[in-house]
Amino acid sequence: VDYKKIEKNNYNIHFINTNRFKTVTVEINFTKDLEENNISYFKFLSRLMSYSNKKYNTRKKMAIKCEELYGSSVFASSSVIGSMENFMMGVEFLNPLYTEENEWKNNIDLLFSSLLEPNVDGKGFDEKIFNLIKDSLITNFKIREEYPSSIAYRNFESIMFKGSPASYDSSGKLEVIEKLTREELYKFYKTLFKNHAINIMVYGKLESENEDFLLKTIEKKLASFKSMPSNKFNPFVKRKLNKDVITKIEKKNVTQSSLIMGYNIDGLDKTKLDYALNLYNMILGASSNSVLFLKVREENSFCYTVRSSLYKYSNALVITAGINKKNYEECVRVIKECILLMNDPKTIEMNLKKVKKTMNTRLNDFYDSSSAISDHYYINEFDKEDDIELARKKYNEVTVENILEVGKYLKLSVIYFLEGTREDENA
Amino acid sequence: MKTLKYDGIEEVLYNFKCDNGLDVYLCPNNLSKNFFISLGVRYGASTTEYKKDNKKYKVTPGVAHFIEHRVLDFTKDKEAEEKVRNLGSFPNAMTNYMTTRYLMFGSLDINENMKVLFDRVFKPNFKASDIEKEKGIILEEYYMYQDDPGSAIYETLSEAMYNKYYMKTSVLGKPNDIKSISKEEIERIYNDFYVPENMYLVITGSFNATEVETFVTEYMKKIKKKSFVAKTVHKKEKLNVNVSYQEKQMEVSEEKVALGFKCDIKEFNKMHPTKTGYYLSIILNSLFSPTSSLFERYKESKLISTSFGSSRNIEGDFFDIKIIVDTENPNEFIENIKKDLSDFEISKSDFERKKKMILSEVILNFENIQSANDFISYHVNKFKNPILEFHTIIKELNYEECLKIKKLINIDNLTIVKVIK
Repeated sequence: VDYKKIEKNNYNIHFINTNRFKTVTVEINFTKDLEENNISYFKFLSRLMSYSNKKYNTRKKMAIKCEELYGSSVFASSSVIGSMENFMMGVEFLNPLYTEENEWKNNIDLLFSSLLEPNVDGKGFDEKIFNLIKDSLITNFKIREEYPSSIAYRNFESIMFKGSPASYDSSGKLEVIEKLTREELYKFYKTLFKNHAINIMVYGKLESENEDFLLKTIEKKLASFKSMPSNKFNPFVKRKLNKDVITKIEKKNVTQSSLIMGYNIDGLDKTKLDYALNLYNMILGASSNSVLFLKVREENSFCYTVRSSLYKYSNALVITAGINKKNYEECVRVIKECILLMNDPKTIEMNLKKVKKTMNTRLNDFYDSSSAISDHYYINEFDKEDDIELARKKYNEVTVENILEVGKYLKLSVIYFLEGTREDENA
Repeated sequence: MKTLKYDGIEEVLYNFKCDNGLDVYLCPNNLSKNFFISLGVRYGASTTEYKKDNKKYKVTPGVAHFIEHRVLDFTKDKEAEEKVRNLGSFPNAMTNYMTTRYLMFGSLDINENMKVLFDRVFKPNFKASDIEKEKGIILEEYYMYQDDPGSAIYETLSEAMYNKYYMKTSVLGKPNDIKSISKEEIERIYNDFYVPENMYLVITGSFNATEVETFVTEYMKKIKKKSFVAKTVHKKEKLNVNVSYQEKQMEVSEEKVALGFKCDIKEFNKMHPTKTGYYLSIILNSLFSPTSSLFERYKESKLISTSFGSSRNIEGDFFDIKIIVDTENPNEFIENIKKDLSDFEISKSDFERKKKMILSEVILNFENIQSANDFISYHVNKFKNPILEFHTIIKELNYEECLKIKKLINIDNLTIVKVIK
């Protein structure tokens, strides 16, 4: 991977040149501090702006254009990254090496026309399309209630991260979507070009003429943008930690129950123990034959899935399992036992070398994933990350003592149980 | 070792057959740092009954998937567990109707990775106590899918539309099937189907093909050649759908409708199924992708609440199309979609554009080592051939032929499943 960053007054361009992939992707990222209502606006905007633009003013026309370009994809998405929000618009297309026509220019034009020339009239976004998408978004809120694990996660996060941006529903709020007008959304769209950090990620096999063309095009298109430097924003979430363990049990008419246990990571010095924390999580529940997998699934047959994951920017470790309701108390006890096992030097000694090897494979996988490479350079703008080879070295330096040290900072905060009330089939 | 080349892309494939009958395909990509090993058995949930030595055996639904769980178990055998974790590799497995595949994703010492995986697959140890424990785990997997309305309605539609066809039962089986699976059945089926001649190995990613060939050839000398004589009994599926209407009660926020159309494709059964598959993709894509106005029209008329989902399946003399939607107006939706399925048109320019899309999709299978492995394995499993000429097949797709296949869509041979709140 050959990486270079070009800093301009109001944006950065990151060229990631690699012949590993058969596609080329250009993404424009707009990032700023998270505001709860904006999540809904951005969700709406991301659906709307990849749907049509001024020139291709129906979904059909837009899709036909993309197919003409050998299945190019114009996409928009919004995401919450700790206490930041990011709106991204991009185009992915087959490298012209594999096609009969060279469609570089047409693909870039399609991206910029979708971003800068949206499908609006004098008042706001096209009324028919706006209402169609609004209706779909509202229905999506209803439909997600059919998925028990999604309900469990949402309810758990609202308790675990209460009062902080990490508790916001990452799908937005139904009442905000319902009230939103096409005029208001258009006004909001215009704020994209002010007060955001703008990072353009370009990755794929790039010739110098492709880079020159992009530089000139972007300079022309983004000249009037008033952006903020990336270092004005940071993703770490500030939140108050509850002192006592909160237990919440809710019911739903499904067969499988969802158990989620959240641990606060309180006071850990990330500059010293960040790598140890990742390896701790892998030993506990994020690798094959993890402590949780062996105890909860293999020894006790409580579940099909059990895993732990880190909420990097909210200082939390979360354990999830899909279980039978009759095993709730036993399962909580065994999970607590697993956390205690993580304080035993023997457990760590037995596992540390192995998870370092697993981490080595995961780090190698970085080079096989265009989006992982791009995400790495993007997030590096806000939270300095070591490059992959330095990270590999630092993982290898983590000691048993470092992992045991991590365990001291973990405190159980929330036990959430969505109890399935439906009886097992053929029980 | 034969060198094979895909049409129109730079990928090269090496192929050889071991003395014991194992078919091997190697697709190196040294721009990657990892490798992806897939050892497949041409045995999956489609075998509901088989014959061997003049004896007929019924197969308990779900047993192929159950065997996969027990074969890949790295927890009971401590030595194997040590090895795989010391390699930092990710073992996995999957079962569908047509195949069971054992997978290893790694980056250190490919030979040791192959040895660990081959040892598990060729030398399993089925213990009655482990089999009993596994039942609890698989039941939780079953309930996880049953709580997902999309999976549950798909399963109900398949049960209703087919008469005897294997897709009538799910890959996992039902709870009573899972509970009844025995050590004896597992061992018998393993011995009858896990035979090198009925298996294939596909490796993609970073490795040296000659070194891998040497290792595989040596290892396979220890795995005896055995005649593969088990014959799956293919039950003749009647063209008519089994049940034309069924209701299912579920706790859902929006009513759902699933439709399954069965269509006669006998007159094209000499056509290569890959080609027929491309034609059907073009036809369904023309109706259901964003290039059609159908989505907007249905959305505006409140015939659908979110989006369309469609899938297709081709088997011998018939193909089927399944459509699942959320809708407030199920009856109106059904009437309209039947009309649109019979009336819609594909223009020549639409057809040529869709060909470009298909070409791009196929090329992008080689974007990462896992999807490349899946792509090669799918063809090697189904056709015993990697289909190197896909580029030519796509180029030769013909508009008139596409229209003829489109005419075969039979809107009256239909199963309707309604999910009622």
